[in-house]
Amino acid sequence: MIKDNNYSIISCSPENLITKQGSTISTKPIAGTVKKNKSMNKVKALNYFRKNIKETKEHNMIVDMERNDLSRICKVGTVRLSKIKVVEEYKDLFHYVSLIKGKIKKNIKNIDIIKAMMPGGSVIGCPKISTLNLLNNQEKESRNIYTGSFGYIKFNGDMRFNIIIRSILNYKNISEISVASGVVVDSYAQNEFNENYIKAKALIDLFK
Amino acid sequence: MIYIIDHKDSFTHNVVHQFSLFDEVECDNYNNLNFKKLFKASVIVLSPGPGNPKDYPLTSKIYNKFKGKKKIIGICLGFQQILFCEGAKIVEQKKIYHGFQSNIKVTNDKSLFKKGKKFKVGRYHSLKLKEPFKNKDFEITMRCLESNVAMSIENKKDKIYGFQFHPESFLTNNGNLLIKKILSA
Repeated sequence: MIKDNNYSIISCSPENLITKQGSTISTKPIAGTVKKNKSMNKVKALNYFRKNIKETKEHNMIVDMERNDLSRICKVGTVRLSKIKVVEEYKDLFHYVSLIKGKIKKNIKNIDIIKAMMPGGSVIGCPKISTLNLLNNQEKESRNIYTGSFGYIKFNGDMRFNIIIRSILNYKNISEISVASGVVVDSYAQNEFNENYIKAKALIDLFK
Repeated sequence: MIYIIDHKDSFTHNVVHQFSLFDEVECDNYNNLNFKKLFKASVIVLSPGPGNPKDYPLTSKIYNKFKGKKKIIGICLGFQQILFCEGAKIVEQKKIYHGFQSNIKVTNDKSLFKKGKKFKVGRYHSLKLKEPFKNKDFEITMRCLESNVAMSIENKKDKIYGFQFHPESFLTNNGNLLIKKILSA
């Protein structure tokens, strides 16, 4: 949570954009969501993702993008996938997740890392520059803090930043929850729309 | 030294890392190319990127200027750029392949790679080469097993090579070996 006089952000984001410990850096992109219910357990969720071509393609694209962003700041040959397409379980849903690690080049500063990694590929699309231009024309409202990032930098230079999803922004006596889903060429509009409710459920339940 | 022309892509630094395994690499954005480095390079790599070869007229000029003088390697858009400069038509394909892993096969015995060899590759393309494509110096050397779409071209005379798929993707098996072989050819 971040709290100021005028606003607060409460985040339970599962998506880690930057974890830096010493010269090791990692990022954990999420692309792929399925609703949790009695007939959907972790094993079934993995099978669902593996068989679902749309989810697989979307995830592959994000993994290659995040490998690219890490390659800007990491030593040649050190960027590796430590976890490839695994399932993480949350209160109302399962996510399809990968973990990518690398060793940071000498003379790279924290600001270089932030510039290379932000905005996160999973909330922008691919290729970043052209999709950012398209999104700027398509999205009628500002995302505000949503899909941005917050975190901390320690005095020793280690740092951790998330992607602001599954978060509540409180300001002017209003609580704001934003959700969205990634659209790719094989997406069905109704499925993507429904995914928003699955993602928002845990936060909305807090207000009941 | 290898000079990579970055067509504003989100995979170019994967390409940079892959080629850096074999030689010194310099990479500049299409809008900010360094001609001193370009002239100094022994290999020019045309990166992947969004859009159509028509969107990058400077790359076409560079290709035409250095064809036969330096080794040229094109990846995805770069592959299409080479073909476009050679008079081929680049057209939209019915099925769009973004983040798709396909099985491909070496189909030509004039290839640097063993004819009949099959392997998995990562693909990110909406456009493809329109066939038939006839050029006495270029051979289509790999094809998609499912769609038969051209996946690689080789011109041994001028040392020009292109891949429609992404050798740098984690979806491509032995991508580093492919690049090593092309660079040492």
